[in-house]
Amino acid sequence: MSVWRASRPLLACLACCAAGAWPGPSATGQPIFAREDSLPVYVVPETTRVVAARVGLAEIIRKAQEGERRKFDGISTLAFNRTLKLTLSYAGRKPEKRCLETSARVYYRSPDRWTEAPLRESRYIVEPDGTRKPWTDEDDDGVRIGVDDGDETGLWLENLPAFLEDTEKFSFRILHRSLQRDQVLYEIGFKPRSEFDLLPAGRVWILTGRYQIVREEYEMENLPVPWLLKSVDLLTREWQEVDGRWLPRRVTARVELHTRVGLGLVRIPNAAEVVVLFDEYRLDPELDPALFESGGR
Amino acid sequence: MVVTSLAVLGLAAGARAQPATFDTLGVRAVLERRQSVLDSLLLPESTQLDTAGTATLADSLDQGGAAAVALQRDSVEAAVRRAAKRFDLGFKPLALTTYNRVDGLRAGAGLEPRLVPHTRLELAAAYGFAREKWAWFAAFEAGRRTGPVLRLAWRDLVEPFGPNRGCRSQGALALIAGQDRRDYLRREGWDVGVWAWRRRAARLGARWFDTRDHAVAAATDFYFLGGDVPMQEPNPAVDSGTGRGLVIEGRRGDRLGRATVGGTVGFTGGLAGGDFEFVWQEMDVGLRQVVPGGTLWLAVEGANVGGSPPAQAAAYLGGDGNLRGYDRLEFAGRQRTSARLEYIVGLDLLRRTRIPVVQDLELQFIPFFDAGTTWGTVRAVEGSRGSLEGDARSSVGLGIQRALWIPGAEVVRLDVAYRTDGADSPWGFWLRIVALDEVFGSDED
Repeated sequence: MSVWRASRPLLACLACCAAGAWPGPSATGQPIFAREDSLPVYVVPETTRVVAARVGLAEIIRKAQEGERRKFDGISTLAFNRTLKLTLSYAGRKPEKRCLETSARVYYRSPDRWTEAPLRESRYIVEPDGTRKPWTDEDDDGVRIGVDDGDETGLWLENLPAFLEDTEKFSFRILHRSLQRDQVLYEIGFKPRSEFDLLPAGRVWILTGRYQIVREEYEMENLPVPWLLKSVDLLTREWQEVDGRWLPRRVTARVELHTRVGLGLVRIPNAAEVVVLFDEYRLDPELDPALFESGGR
Repeated sequence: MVVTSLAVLGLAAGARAQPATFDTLGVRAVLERRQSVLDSLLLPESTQLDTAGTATLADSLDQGGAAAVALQRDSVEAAVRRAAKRFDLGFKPLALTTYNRVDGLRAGAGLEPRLVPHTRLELAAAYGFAREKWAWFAAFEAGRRTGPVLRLAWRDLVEPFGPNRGCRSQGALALIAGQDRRDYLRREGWDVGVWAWRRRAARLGARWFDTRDHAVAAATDFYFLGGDVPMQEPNPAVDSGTGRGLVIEGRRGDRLGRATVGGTVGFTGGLAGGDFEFVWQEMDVGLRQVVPGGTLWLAVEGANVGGSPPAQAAAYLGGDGNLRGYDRLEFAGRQRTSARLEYIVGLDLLRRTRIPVVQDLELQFIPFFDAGTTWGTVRAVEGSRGSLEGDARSSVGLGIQRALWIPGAEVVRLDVAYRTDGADSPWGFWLRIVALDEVFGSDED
């Protein structure tokens, strides 16, 4: 094993280099080294630590309530397409899927006037081999399945979701954070405090820019009419950014049903899936006032 | 294997046991990831929406205005549906149908046709097989359902009086188990009222009435099961006569039902004429507060009757309506106050026992406490013990309820009450099936 030993003059020389105190020209004939002093040297006295308290969960919920209430502030008119698709899955001797699709143009005028115009309605049956055939009245077995296109638009601008409306009935928990450059996307789980209330649990994504909901996912532990409903699943509401505002994009739900309730007299589907799509938004369009005088509410 | 649930993927709220984490993904990336997961779980048919051409059609409608929209409605046969809605016969097959010890089985039916927009007609008739008399009801309304609305009504009905109005299931329980826990009079006449607001959380209206009350006797004690039940009790006689006067009613509550306040003031007689001369005021306050492990519900009410009220208008205390465990109309006075406190346990205690079968019963427990008193001497029905003169009476008990979720019969509930005044038979039981809007003891019939 070899051990390298440095001489004392060499160590002194290295120490001087490290200290930046290299000796100047020597009169003794020893080597003269150049000293670099053209680069400015900044001296940072101390690191300044900036500390801010993370926004608490209660504060996030409170701000989300405010954000949601003001989500549509400033909109005087609104128009969008709403397309609803209901898919009924039948099992048993005659497995098939029945699809009902309706679309409508929905108009809103501040503060509370709504009206809509149907755009299209189609009904068809998808056979197990994928072929389509028209869904006629004869296929209904005396029970006409339809979608009420009456007074309800299914979208009240001022309505808050239940977990923000009556927050004391829910417990909340931050599940995840996505840190953006200038805001945070919180993923917050919620569940009803009472184990008996017919309220959904789920998770919601809140974007802190304006504290708006950008996605909701629900699950039901207590089912209404459990003698008919076996489960409720895929219950979501998706939002999309349109001209700087977060507006509904899609609502989905799937229910599984107890088919025996039909007692063999009425054919009950074993599952039903609903998708409602919102698109073709126009914010503050000029709308004919007469639109809201007939057929509106 | 096809995965059909967000929960199965651990992406739904069931996965909330994991600690809060973070990343630096953009909002669009997060949302698109969730959307794609959802798309993979939905049926292919559900994600294939036919939106071709709708954008163009929407544009033309936006530009064309009301005329284009009207044309479009007609083109998709919406006009047929609207026409159908304009005239709706509104057949009500079981209108006025009930069972009680005065009418016996009262079987009826009704119509609620919508004539022209903002007008409604209610017609109903029923036959009481034990009383062997017809009962009927007619009303006409003009205005919005939520007000302002004008309402005229005519009736000749046997209806309950006093604080014990029971609930809508009362008729069925009377027939099956003899649980007729109300007292009745026959009231005929008309009233006309104007409601400025008639919403669930806010009501304000005034009503002029001209009605005649009659005493009616119990005509049947038939029921299917049990024995020694209220069905066998006589119906107390009321004072017959005409009441003519004005009543103003108001109710206000927050949208979430956390607090409600209601009040009624009215008079009969005087310049209005009639056989009765008295005034009355009633007020009630309800509060609901979520507390650890459940919800507290407190209801306080008070009533005052002045003048010469008939027996049916006295301020009664006792029975399901305000003092559980006590007899119906047991105490009476000119003034009454009562309070009801319930703690609605939000935890499924039986599930925590992990005892087979028991853990699946899903029974909710509701301890309660009722208290009240009356003051002043007043004419009351036979059997009433008169005024307490401020001496309070109370009862404690336990409510046990289970959700049924049958439309109109969402909850079945049993209250076991114990009266604390040292009576010989202190225990009382009250079984009922309650609709969702009656859970907190609404007096709607």
